[in-house]
Amino acid sequence: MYSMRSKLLASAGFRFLAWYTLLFSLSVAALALLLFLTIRSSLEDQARNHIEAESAQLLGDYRDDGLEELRHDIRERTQNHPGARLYYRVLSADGRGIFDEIPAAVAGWQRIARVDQADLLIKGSPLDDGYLLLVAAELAPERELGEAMRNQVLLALALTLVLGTGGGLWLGRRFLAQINRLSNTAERIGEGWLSERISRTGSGDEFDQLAATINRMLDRIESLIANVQQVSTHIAHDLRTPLGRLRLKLEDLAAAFPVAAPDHPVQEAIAILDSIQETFAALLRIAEIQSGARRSGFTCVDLSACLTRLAEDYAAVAQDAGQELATEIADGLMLSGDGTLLVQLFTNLIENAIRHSGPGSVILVGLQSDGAQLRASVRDNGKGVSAELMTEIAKPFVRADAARTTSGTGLGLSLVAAIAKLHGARLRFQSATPGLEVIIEFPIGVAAAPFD
Amino acid sequence: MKILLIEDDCETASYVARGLREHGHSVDLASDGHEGLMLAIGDAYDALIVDRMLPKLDGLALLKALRASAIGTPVLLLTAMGGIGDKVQGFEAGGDDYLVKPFAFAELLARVQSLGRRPPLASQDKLHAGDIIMDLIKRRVSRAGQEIDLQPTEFRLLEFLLRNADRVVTRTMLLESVWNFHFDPKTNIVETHISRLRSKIDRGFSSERIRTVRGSGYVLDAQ
Repeated sequence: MYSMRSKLLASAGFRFLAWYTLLFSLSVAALALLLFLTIRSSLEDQARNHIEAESAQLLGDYRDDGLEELRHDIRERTQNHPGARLYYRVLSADGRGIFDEIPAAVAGWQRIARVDQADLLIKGSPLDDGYLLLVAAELAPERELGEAMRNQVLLALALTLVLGTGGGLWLGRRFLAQINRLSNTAERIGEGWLSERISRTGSGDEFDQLAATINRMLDRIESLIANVQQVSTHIAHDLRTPLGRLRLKLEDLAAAFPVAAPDHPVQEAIAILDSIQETFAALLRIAEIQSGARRSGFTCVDLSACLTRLAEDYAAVAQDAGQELATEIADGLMLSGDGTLLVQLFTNLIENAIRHSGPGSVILVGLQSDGAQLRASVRDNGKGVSAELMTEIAKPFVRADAARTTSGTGLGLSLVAAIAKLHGARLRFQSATPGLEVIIEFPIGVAAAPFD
Repeated sequence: MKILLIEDDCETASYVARGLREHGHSVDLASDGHEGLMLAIGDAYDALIVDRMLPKLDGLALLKALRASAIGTPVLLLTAMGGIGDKVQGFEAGGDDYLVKPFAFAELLARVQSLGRRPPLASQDKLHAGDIIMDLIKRRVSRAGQEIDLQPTEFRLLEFLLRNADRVVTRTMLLESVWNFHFDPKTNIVETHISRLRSKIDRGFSSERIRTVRGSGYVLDAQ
């Protein structure tokens, strides 16, 4: 659950949406600010027009009928609309005023901020003899307007965040599901299931198109690999058929010498031909294993029984070579694998130990489980392998100096490594002081897991 | 034995045919899949040797067609393809044995002869070869009434030899059937176990029942 969540949070889709939500919230806030400023300025314009119209009308009356008429007009206005009305003041030249208190005494537009009261917008219009007419309007209180808007804006922001995050999670999940589909398929192909394809949704969206593109690429890769396999099969055929003829001809030749000694040149030629064929077969087998195609034939293998039987059979061989083969094999350990190949793997390791550890050595074949993995090992107390060679010996055609004089393809451990890898196992070489220990750790259950 | 050899490589075909005839078998030749199938359906053979890659009709298709027409003649597949997967395919198509090129003629001969007279399946619970008696149910072996104690591998080895009594079995045949080794081991595991089996079977008796055939393999004499 935790990993799913952290995977979701780490997903590119989610990060994209998080940024998108942040940006969107910022733009909502900016929009609200703009709206606020616009409303405020339009309210002010409205007040200004109102003042302008009143001033013009009052001034008109003043021009026609003088100061008395102006007073009369103003009084009438203050009495008729006691509620929502403008404020008026007439100031004399020496600063005495009548009507409302307006804290201003100059001509022209003014805006006055007051403590605990709405701002005032004032227009002063000069009259004759130094008199001044002031008309003022209370501007809608900015804080009220701000507060009224803030609630709406916060609600809008909250909605934006909820929708953005929710949408982000939903899209991220969809995104992840699509990506998982791609990566699961890629993983299976990596394991050797070359004919796997990404299932199409048919929606024609970017993911579907991507799936189609990848599928086309996979078709191409598969056909290329098929070509390579076909070519190697043809090489195998075209090389093996003449090799076969050559062998039959040599046999024919050997038949001419009724009691052909094993060191007769013809027999030697046959032996060389057989070793060529052996190298050839080993290379083809490694290629076959590395292609992963064998994995489809995995069955449940009783590794304990298989190792016990091998060890029993090779104990006799070791005994004849003046060696001892002992076992430490736990009972009933099973794994999902290719029985034929596992037999070959352990045969190679046991035979290597017998052939290279020298007479008098003790070979120990072990198999244990620690719950998480099966640990199989073949250990000898022979000459061992130098530290620098330890990392090299599993590579094709690498052979320890001492082994160069004995027969062999130099591919045995490469084959072991390929078989181990096919089973998801780890192959390790370590010094057994003296001697060499080869350890193979099979993950329990993992070999079968990709087939769920 | 009457054998049909279906092989497009002329040289291989003539060598194999000549060798088989020298060993007293009668051999018919076909050089492509069609001709081979016609002959195999039209005549009764004791064994077929079929190359896997054939013109007109490949070996596997031929084999399937043959089995589909309810012809159960034992088939030895010859092939240049030595993969484990190839082998499995061969057996699935109805092949009885599989031999990878290049092969030793002795190997081919032994396998063909082993194919020819397969003992009826699951009918016997005792195998006899002269004074050697193997009880497959009780897992016991005796010679001239004398109980012989065998290890499991020695038992399987003797069982295979008994089933192929008087016929040469090669080292490879033993590796495949007794050890399930589909590769060539680097030690003398076969020789070691044969020699142990031999010492147990023949100890105290004047006649040696398991003979080594030079360059071919081993044979257990029925008498």
